[in-house]
Amino acid sequence: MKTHTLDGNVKVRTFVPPPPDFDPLSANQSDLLKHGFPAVPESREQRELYKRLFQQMKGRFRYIEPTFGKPNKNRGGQYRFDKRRKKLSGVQAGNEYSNIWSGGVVYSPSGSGIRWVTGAWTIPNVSAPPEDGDYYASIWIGIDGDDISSDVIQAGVNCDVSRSHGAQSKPTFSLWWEWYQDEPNEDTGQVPITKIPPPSPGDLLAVTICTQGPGSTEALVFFANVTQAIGTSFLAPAQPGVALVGNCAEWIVERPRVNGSASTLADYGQVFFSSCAAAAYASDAAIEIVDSGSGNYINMVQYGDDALISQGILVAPTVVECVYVGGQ
Amino acid sequence: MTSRIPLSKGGSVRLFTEPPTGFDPLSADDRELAVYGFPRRPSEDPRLMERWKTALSRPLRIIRPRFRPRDRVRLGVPKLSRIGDLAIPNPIWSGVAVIAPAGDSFSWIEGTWIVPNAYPPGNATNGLWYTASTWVGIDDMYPLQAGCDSDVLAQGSSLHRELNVWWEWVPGGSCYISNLPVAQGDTVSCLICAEGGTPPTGTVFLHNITSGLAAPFAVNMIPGIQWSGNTAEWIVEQISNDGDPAVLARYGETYFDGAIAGTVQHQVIDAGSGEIIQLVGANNNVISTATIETPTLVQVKYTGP
Repeated sequence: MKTHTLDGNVKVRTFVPPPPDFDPLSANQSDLLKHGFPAVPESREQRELYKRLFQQMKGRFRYIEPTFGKPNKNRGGQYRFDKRRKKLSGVQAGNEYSNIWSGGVVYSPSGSGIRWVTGAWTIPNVSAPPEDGDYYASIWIGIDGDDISSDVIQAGVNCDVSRSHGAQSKPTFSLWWEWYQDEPNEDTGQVPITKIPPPSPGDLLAVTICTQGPGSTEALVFFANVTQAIGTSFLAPAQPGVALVGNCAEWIVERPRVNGSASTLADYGQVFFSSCAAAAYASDAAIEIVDSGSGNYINMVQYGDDALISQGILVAPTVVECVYVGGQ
Repeated sequence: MTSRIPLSKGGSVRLFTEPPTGFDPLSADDRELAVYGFPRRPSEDPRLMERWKTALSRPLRIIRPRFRPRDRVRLGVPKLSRIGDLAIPNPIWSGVAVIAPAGDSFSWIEGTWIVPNAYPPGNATNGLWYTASTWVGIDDMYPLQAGCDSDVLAQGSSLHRELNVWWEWVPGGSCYISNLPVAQGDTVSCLICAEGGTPPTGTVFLHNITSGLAAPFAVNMIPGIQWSGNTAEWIVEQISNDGDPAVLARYGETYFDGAIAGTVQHQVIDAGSGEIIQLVGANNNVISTATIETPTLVQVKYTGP
């Protein structure tokens, strides 16, 4: 393994790339771990998802050893100061509201902790609303960050676009990860993943995050661009003194924090997270698979007047839909 | 002013008057909606009304479509019929189709989907175009259909791409809509209304939700065709380009949302009650298939070689 030391003393470990003919579906467990692939899961449901992912790329998959850009202090997660849970009267139970997140969240069943989360989505093209300005949509999956946990291990794609003098810029798309931590630590910001060809809108991206469960201080992040049949992975570290809580997992479209405050969301049309599942392990090693459908909706609403910006819908047991509404 | 454009294989297209600046379809009356080519207000069904409002509440700029011929070869049109609970195997289509109840026929279909990016399949030949075409349509023998072609061509190590919006009323010619740009990852929505008669007529409302542009037009079919409107479908299709054998481009997956259709006798039929169509290769291997996620949401996914 190689250790990359990034700004802020963030140490990311990368794996020995597999040989070109490596087939994760027939490889043994120790080779999978050595080359940075998620271990073949123990539960049948997880194995199905695993098989489905790699079968689509069978014979063509190319593993790319990642490098990382400078952690971007001006761009990152945000949590407690503006994330709130609220139930409105007359709204069905299970709805949550946030000023920055939209999507779906599941909670670990009592007595267990979430170890693992997966999801795939077609990267949407984005457009800039009519007023001049910079617009952002961060689309990611992660563990922790709602209710009792104040960290988030998250990985996904940024979709940025701007409008200046009425003309829209060409949108840009980039992959990143972050292990966010609410105070007292200083936020490291998003870490760009470089060297892997950037994703294009319309590509199917699949992300899996594996940990050892509550208390973990490192997470395996596995990215696959399914349509390009390329992938990469690495071990992402938590910040000093931070460890996984494992109380929740989520599939999210976010307006990220940019230069210290919540940005304005880009018009992303709609996004469907497919093959959504999280695995919770109890202390007696029993595994429970938590479908996204068993969780809560999160709607993104404006500060102050609660105008709906982006809607999260748990549309089917393993599908989370997000729809851009506007209202900013 | 409306204008009529004759088509090369017979039939014609009629364009609508562009609405005045600031026109608000939500508060317009039914006559104004018809004049400017907007989908009519479906006040008879609260669920449809909700969708109609959502679609027309977004930023929307109406343009008058311009057309150019689309030289794509279809390897015949599949005749769909139920085969019990099994998915229907098909050499060119994958997705979901609903079949009209006896004595009834479809008069409209609606769907919203994210246009996928295309990559050459594993066995791709250098210099050939590969396509994944995403569309909605009515009828299986003479479909009135509209959607997008995601095209890709590999030349050495570089990929070239095209993405075109098109419509067709088989057996009339197929046309690109050359002034309605669509990019990979855009969310598009399409509403097609059609009725039989002599000749059959239809209207197409294609809306790029991401860019906010929409292009409505009306079509008169080639005279002399007995059009039945027996099916309504949400499809990813492989298209033969330049006469080469059709091979589907790798497209990942797409979701058809708001996938509903309606009949002449005012029945609303969800895609979820329909038949799954699987695109199968020469060895009966499944290349692309559909999953019904909810009554109105269909996932179509590349599973190919």
